[in-house]
Amino acid sequence: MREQDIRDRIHKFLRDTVRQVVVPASMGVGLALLGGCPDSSLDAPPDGSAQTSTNTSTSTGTGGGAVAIYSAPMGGTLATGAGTGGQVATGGVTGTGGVVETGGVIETGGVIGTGGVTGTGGMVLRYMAPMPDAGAFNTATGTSTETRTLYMAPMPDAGLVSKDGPTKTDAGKKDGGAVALYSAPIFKDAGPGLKYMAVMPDAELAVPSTGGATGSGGATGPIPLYMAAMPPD
Amino acid sequence: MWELTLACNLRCKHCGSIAGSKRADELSLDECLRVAGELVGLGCRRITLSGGEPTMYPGWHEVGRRLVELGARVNLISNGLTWSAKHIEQAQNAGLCGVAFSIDGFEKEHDEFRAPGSFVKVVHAIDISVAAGLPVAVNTTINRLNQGQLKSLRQFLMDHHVFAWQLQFATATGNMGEHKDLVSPPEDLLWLVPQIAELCRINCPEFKVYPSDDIGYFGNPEPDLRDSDTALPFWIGCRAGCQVIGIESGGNVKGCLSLPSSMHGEARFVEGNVRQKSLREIWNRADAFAFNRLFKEEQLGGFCRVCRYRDVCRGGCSWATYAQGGTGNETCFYYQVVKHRRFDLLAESPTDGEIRYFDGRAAAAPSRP
Repeated sequence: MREQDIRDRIHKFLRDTVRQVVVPASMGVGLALLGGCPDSSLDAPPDGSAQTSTNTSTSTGTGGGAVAIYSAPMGGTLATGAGTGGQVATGGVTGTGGVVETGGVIETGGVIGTGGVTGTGGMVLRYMAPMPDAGAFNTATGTSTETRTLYMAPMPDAGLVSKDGPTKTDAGKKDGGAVALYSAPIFKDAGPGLKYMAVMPDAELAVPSTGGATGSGGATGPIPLYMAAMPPD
Repeated sequence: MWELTLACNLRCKHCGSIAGSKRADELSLDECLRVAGELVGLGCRRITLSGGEPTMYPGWHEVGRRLVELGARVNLISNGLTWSAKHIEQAQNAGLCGVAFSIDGFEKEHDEFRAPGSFVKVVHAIDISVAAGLPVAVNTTINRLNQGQLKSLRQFLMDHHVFAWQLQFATATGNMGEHKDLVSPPEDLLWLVPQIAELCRINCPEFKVYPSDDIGYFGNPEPDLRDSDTALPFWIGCRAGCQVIGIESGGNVKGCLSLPSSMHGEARFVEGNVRQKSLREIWNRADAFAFNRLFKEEQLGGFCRVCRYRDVCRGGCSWATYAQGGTGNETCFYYQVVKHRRFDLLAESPTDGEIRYFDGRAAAAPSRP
């Protein structure tokens, strides 16, 4: 297998099958945490199949349709302009049909993040939230009725950081910036590498008291997602 | 990987854990049962109970049963020395999906590494387990003594109805640090890795070869070494602390059980202890497993620093890299191919930078024994 073949496969994999988005921030592609790993891994299935959400919730708040999510940049330079490369999610968040576009790989400009959630335990850096400015999501009612673009922002600053801690820099590979994407858990019970992104069940709609994401059924603002336990094989 | 105890009834020459006596502070059964809940609660689905010799931990089957009840697939690695019908019954009652025994060659070579008479006993353990319907896998540590036996060993294991065979290289750590002469010479990877790939290529439903994470990387054998069912059938980096976790019998947590710790006078890979914090807290700590989760190419040294695959490979197996000083990995197939200019084993020529790295260092390609 030639190097280019390997990189093409990686690129295609990132485009088509990335659902589990917790990846090492500074590695070139962050593949070790994605679903392409051997089935001897801790949890991820070999083909990522089990990462399909079994959560049938119609996403956020008052429900109605799939809700796009994006990963808010955690700081640094924010991309501007609407994303152009995103594919459309047609089933729950990160569920079937929901494809996460990798902003660092594709040419999308992205959407300005509206503030990552601030954790209380020094753990939270990012959250997955409905895209605030794509129009379909009514932030007043918390209702979404249309399919929305999924977008994963390129990571302007790499590395897990603690609350108030320094943001690590990333040398990146080609364009001077990191290409890895990552999304940290928003709750203390989330486990990177072991979870997938799902709409937060009603019972757990308690959101961090500070930071951007609020919203529970019908509440205002984007609806936070959380890292749910993987469904059984 | 969960080391239930460091106690062992063997003192194998290649034991990376330096097993023998149990740790002074090993987790009690109650603690293990709690950790079992935390482990599965964290999302872990596949768990291997290990040691030492795990059957020397009195409640090994109870830990296994708890894990199974919680929904995990659990197996056990044993040296088979004292394996009996009672162990089989305990394993089956606990719901274990199988047991893996260690065989390091045929009788002479195996006993040389382990103990006189141990080969006969482990083969007996295999046979009685298979007869009882307990699926059996085998682990083999490849070393200078047995590296020429792989093909015949495969047939032997198939004849004994083993269903899976994991291969790994001996590394000069732990006890093997005293027997470095028995480690397979790195240049032998030029024929060993293609041979392992060949063994993988002829896998069948009844018997499958699994190269461990220290075997590879890249070059022509690579696709055959990885699971072809995956989207990315090539090495994509060490999974320690990302998709794999190791728990020592004293409660220390590492990204991979193979990584060194107190037995090696090394603490940097210990991320926490389940007696002080929950497994979830340890796993989720922002800077946990930083050597891998926050990996940067600047961590690489030697040839890895110029390797075209460095961002994908990340230096191969973290343990192997550590064993070689922490900056490079000479037990890499691609490294050896470029070093010895065996470009016939590659799909494309190395980069200029890679070739220049070995200017003045290249050695004649070794011949196959």
